[in-house]
Amino acid sequence: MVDLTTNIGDLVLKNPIMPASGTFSDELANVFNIGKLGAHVAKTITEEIRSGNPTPRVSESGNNMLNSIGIPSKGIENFKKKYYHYTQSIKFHLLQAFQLLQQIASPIFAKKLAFQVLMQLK
Amino acid sequence: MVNGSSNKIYEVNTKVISNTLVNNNYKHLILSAPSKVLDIQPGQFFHLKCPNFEDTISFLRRPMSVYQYNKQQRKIEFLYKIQGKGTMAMSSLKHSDYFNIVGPLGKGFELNKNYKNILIVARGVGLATLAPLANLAFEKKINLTIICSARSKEYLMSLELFESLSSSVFTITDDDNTSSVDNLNRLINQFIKNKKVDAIFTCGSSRILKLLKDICEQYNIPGQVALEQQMACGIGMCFCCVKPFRINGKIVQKRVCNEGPVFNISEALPW
Repeated sequence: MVDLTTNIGDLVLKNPIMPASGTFSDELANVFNIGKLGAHVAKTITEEIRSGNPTPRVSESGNNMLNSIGIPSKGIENFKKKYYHYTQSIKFHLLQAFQLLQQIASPIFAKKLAFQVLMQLK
Repeated sequence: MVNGSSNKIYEVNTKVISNTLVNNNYKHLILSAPSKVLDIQPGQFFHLKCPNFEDTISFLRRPMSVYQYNKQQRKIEFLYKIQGKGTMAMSSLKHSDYFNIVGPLGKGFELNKNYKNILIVARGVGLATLAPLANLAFEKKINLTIICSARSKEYLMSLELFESLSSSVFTITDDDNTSSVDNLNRLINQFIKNKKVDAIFTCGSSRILKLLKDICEQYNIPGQVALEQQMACGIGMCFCCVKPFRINGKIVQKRVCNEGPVFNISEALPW
C-alpha cells in the first residue's frame, strides 16, 4: 500500500481524501465504508439553532441543479452531544476551529458564530 | 445509525419486465432486481434515475415509494402517475431496458405487534404507498379496514389487491360525491365505535391528514402518514427535502428522506 499519510498543521490524516463541507453526512455509512476517508468535514455548525430556508430548496434545469438550503443547523450543543463519543480527538479540533473562527467569523455570522469542523478518522 | 433506518443502501441496475398503463395517468412498472435490495419495509422508497427522453434530461433522481416487492421472485414494482418530465421519461421504459435505482431508503411504517385492528385511509397515488403495508398486516393476521378514495372509479387502483387482503374495503369517489371530509369523518367514526381501532395509516391527501389528526387526537389512536417532498440526494446529506412538523408546540424541520417518509400523524402538518 502506498503511504498517503497527510499532515495539515498538527493534524495527521491517514489519507488526504475528505468531502467538502455540506456534501456529506453520517447516513452515507449505509452506502460505503466511511472509515476509508482521511477526514470527515461536517456541514457548517452554528452556535444557535437555525432552521434554514423554506422549501423549495432545490431546482433542476437540464444537466444541472441549483440549491439554496440556508445553512440549517441544530446548534453546537447538539453536535457536541452527537459526536463527542466517536473520537476523543474531535474535542481538541473543535475547540481549535472555534477559536480560529471566532477571530475571522464572516459578517453573516457576526452574532451567530459558525464554524466548520474537520473530524479526523482513525 | 443516526435518525433513519440502518439498512444498507445500494445502487443497482434493474431490468424492466413490463411498464403498462393502468388508466389515463398511471403506469405500473415491474422490474427484475437483485435480491440484496429487496429487504424492504413497507413505506420505504427508491430513488430512480429517469432515462433521457427526447430532449429532456432529469438531472435529479425521482423518489418513489415501493408498490410491491417479492424477494423470491426478485421483483420490485412501482405504480406512478405521469406528471412531469421525470415520470414522462419513465413511461418510455420498455421490456428489457435497464433502469438504475438506489435504495431502499427512509424509514417505513411501523406495525406494533399489539395491533389487532388497523385502519388504512388512502387517496389517489397514496394507494400504491400503502399496498405493501396492507400486505404485511395481512401476513401478520392483523384485521384491516381499508378506505380507498379517488377522483373517479378508474383511479381506485389496486382495489383487487386490497380486496384479497381484507373483507372491509370501502371506496369513495369525487364522482359519486362520497369522498367529502364530512362523509369520511362519519365513516371512520362508525368504524371506531363498532370496533376498537389500534392505529390509523394514511397517504396521499392533505385534507384527509387534517381530518385524521383530529380523529387520532379525539380517540387517542396512534397514526402514521407517508409524506412526499421534492428530493435531491434522497439519503439525508443535502437537506433539500425538509418539511415542517409540530413537536411539543414548536415547529421543527425534518428531512422527508431520512427521518421519514413515514411520520407520526400527531406531528405532521397538512400542506
